[in-house]
Amino acid sequence: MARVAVVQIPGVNCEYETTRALEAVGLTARIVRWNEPASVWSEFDAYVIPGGFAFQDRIRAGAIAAKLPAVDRIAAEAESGKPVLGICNGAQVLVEAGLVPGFKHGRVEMALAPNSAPRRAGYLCRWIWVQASPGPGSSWYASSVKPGEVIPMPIAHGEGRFLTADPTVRERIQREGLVLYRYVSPSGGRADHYPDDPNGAMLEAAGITNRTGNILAFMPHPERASWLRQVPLEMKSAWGEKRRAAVGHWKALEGPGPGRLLFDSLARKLGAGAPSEVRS
Amino acid sequence: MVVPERVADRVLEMYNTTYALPEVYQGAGAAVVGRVRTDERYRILKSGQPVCDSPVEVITAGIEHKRSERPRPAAAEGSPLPAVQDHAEFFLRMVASPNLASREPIIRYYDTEVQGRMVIRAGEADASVLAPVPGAKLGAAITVDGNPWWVAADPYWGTAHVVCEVLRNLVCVGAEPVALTDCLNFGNPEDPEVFGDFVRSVRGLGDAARALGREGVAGPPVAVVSGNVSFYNEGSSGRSIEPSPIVAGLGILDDWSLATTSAIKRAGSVLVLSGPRQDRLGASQMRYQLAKRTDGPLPELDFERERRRIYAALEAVRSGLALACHDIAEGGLAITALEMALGGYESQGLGLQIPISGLGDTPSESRLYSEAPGFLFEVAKERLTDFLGLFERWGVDATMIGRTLAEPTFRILDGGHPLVDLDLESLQRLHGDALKSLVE
Repeated sequence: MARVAVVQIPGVNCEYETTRALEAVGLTARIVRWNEPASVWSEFDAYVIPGGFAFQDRIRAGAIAAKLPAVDRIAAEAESGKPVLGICNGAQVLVEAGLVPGFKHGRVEMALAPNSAPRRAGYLCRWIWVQASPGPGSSWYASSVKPGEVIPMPIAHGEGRFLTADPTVRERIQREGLVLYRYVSPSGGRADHYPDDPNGAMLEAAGITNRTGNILAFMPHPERASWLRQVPLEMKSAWGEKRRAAVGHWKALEGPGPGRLLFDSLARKLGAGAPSEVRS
Repeated sequence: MVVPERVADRVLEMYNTTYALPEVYQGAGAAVVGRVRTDERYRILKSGQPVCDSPVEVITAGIEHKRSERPRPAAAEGSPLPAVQDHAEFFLRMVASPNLASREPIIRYYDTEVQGRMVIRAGEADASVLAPVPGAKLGAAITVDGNPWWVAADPYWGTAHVVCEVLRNLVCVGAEPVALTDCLNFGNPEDPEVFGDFVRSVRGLGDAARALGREGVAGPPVAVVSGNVSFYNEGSSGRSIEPSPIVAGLGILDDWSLATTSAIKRAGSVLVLSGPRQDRLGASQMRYQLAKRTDGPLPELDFERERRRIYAALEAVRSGLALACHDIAEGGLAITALEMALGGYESQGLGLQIPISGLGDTPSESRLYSEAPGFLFEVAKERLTDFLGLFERWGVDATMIGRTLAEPTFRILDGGHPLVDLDLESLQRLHGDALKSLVE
């Protein structure tokens, strides 16, 4: 059975629920500490760096964790095509390590800058909407997502704005279809204003992959949307209706939520079990 | 941390090697610094020489310090409140008050989703609900309340009202109140009036907690499991803050899947009020808006009646008889009803209509804005008889006062005339934005 390492870096705080979300799609997940013997990393088929505040976000979110030997090891394993998923703070680590977009080996080509929205700054926690926009040759990280499907998920970050100072990097990201997940309006339209666009990221990016598509830096929290119970009761949309209809039905509420689509895509890639039918 | 000596090395290894704390943060790490003694002495040594050698009970007995206290002089009777001339205009002023506006702009700066355990978030209902144990039905509800104006107007009853609000908030989501904790923030205790506030506030808290357990004063109290006292809270001018006991409550749900929010759920339901409106508007938001005063007589509170009301509400929510439940506190019935119509963050496009002529003979201002304790429920029409029967069994009042509408309209009538008739979309903007300009 495919084995996934959930990387425990000092200061991350989402490792337990991320592990449960991976197990819910039939994967075997283990929390692996950043300082375990170097040989441990090759035992795994995939790696997830969960959210939190690695090393207290000192210098910049993800900057110190990106320099860990463990991240070098994971990067080396990723060269053979093994999946690496960074969620929120994990996404910041992958970008700071130069793994996403990764045009030039080991070079930091992008940043996750402080959120920017009109008249609002700082940390933001709320549910937003994303849509996968795979192009030819795009990553399999959206293989369980239907074309055009609008997926609600929570974000919780202060620095979630994908940004690059280099126009050619931005142009290549766009041209090569590396923005796999975008923020959209609830109906799937362009996120051209706050809060549909929660942080001012370039290209409305919520998740960007490397060129081979096996590394995804994803700012929303799919593990916080992996069970129907987690969907806000008031949410408009079919997911909200499903959530409301399930009040009083514990089993239904313990069923899949929209964020599970991302983990399903990973399980599918790793050939684990039969992906659950995640639909609103 | 105190650990058996035989596992001390293992504990040190966990901290210092497994989780490598000394490498992660300067000065972090674990070391053995002392041993438990059996001779009831507390000793501190430096280079083998005692710096402290004291009987333990000298330290644990606590220090008694006598402070003088006295009640505040009663505020002079103010002139009677002016009547509200234009009810719609006044209602809009209340809605736009930062004290009554949506807390969303603040809540968004905090992680409501941490550990993925949420069932109901802050702002969606009177209390948050978590599923703390993966795979289990057990739910935990948490709420935090305080109202410095109530406490300043009457430290004993104001604090008791705060405790009641905590318990009402817990039962609104279907949680049985089990524990309280507090943070008691006051000014300089050397001022006899500040300390007088403190003494009365603590008594009010204790008496309410004793009286409001499920079985009342005869049974176990709602336990106050911990607390914190903070004195000397003063502004730069030396003026003490308003007495601010903040009380948090924990409630337990046997099955978190039954937890419900305060938002109205469907058109054609009836609205039921429990808790008579009183013509006592002291320290109310309305009094402040009308006369810029925050003193005056608080609503009367009868612990025994309040207890029955709270546990009747709990039964109504748990049995599914209440589709939605919201407690009445700051802003009174009018603001409570508005919050139910707006929901937490996203209105469902439903409205409501309340004729207030049936609510006793107090002035319409009191009927709308009295902060007397109570609940407003949404009840399915076909369950109304059962609902009223439940409250009758608990020996506490419940009156049908309005209904929900299929259109997003907020309407309050008196004698057939609309006092307030506004569309909820603009009310949502007003209510949602009033705090934004202050925090963003």
